Amino acid sequence: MPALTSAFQLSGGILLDDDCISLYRDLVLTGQALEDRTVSARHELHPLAAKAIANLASEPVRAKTWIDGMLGSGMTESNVLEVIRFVNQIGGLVVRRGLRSTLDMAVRQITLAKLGGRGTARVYRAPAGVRGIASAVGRASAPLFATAPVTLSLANVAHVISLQQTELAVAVLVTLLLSMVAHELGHVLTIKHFRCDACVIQRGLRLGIIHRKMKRREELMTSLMGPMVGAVSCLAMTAVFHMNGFAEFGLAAAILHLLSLLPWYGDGRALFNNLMKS
Amino acid sequence: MIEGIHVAHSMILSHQLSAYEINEVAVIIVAALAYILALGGMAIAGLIICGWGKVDNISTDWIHGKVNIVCRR
Repeated sequence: MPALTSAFQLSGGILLDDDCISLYRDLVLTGQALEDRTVSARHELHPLAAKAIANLASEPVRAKTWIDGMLGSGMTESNVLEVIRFVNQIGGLVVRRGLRSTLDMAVRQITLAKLGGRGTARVYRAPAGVRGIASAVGRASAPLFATAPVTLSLANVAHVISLQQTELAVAVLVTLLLSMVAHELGHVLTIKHFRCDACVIQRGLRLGIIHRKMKRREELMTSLMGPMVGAVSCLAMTAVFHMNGFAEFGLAAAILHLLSLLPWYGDGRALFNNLMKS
Repeated sequence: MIEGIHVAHSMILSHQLSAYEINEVAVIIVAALAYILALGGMAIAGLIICGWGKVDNISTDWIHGKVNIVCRR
């Protein structure tokens, strides 16, 4: 069996040796194919890839053991990387990682970035419910959670910003986070209204909903509803937080949501693609 | 669509990826991060100009991109 250097290296920066991994529940292996039930997609697999994914589907497995098994079955390192990257890109990898390993991963990613390299971002997939969306928003906003408390506390302790300004900043951040949940809920509820299944996908700072292809009108409605609900929720929050200067922020946040309808970005791209089909 | 997936692999032959419709929202998080970085930048500027605990008031004009820093004597 070839010697395993490290799961981090062989997975392109996605996994660590001690990660406990499994296959996302909506992905089902049927023979030599991997079916994605959320979007009704069917990916044909090489027998070795099918065997590797079957090992993942049966029970949670340690990343090092899984990769070792793939290399032992005759797959090359590039084959292993290909399988891991593919399963990751469709949000199929469910990774359980302790706090220590999370910090280890952060350090490795920073070291890699300093050396000019770029690891693949892990894709997180969750059911399209309030909990799943909130969890995905939390993950996407991790850099915010890491920087905001330190920045605001330091600025406040050093009397650079007043307590009132700190409260305003917290209110703005809370509004942005809640409005993101509302934005995604807008998409999900519309998709569910049309009796379709959906999942939340988070990758780095990007957050979105994947769903089966629907009719043109339904796709248009779905793309529109997210930004609309997000914008309305921001405006509604101005009624909750009665602070000096908050109304302007609420309006700006609402405009930000509507900006996602621009044609070269996320919702806007989907909207215009559907409009162009006519 | 999810970017970065190739339609044909040696190990995997993906289903038509147009099946993966995705609506994204990243601009809000980027805006929130930019807001925090702007606050942090203002805080650092205030500390450099006035010193620790010597900032009397900082007012921002977000529309024109101006910051007024008032120090204590």
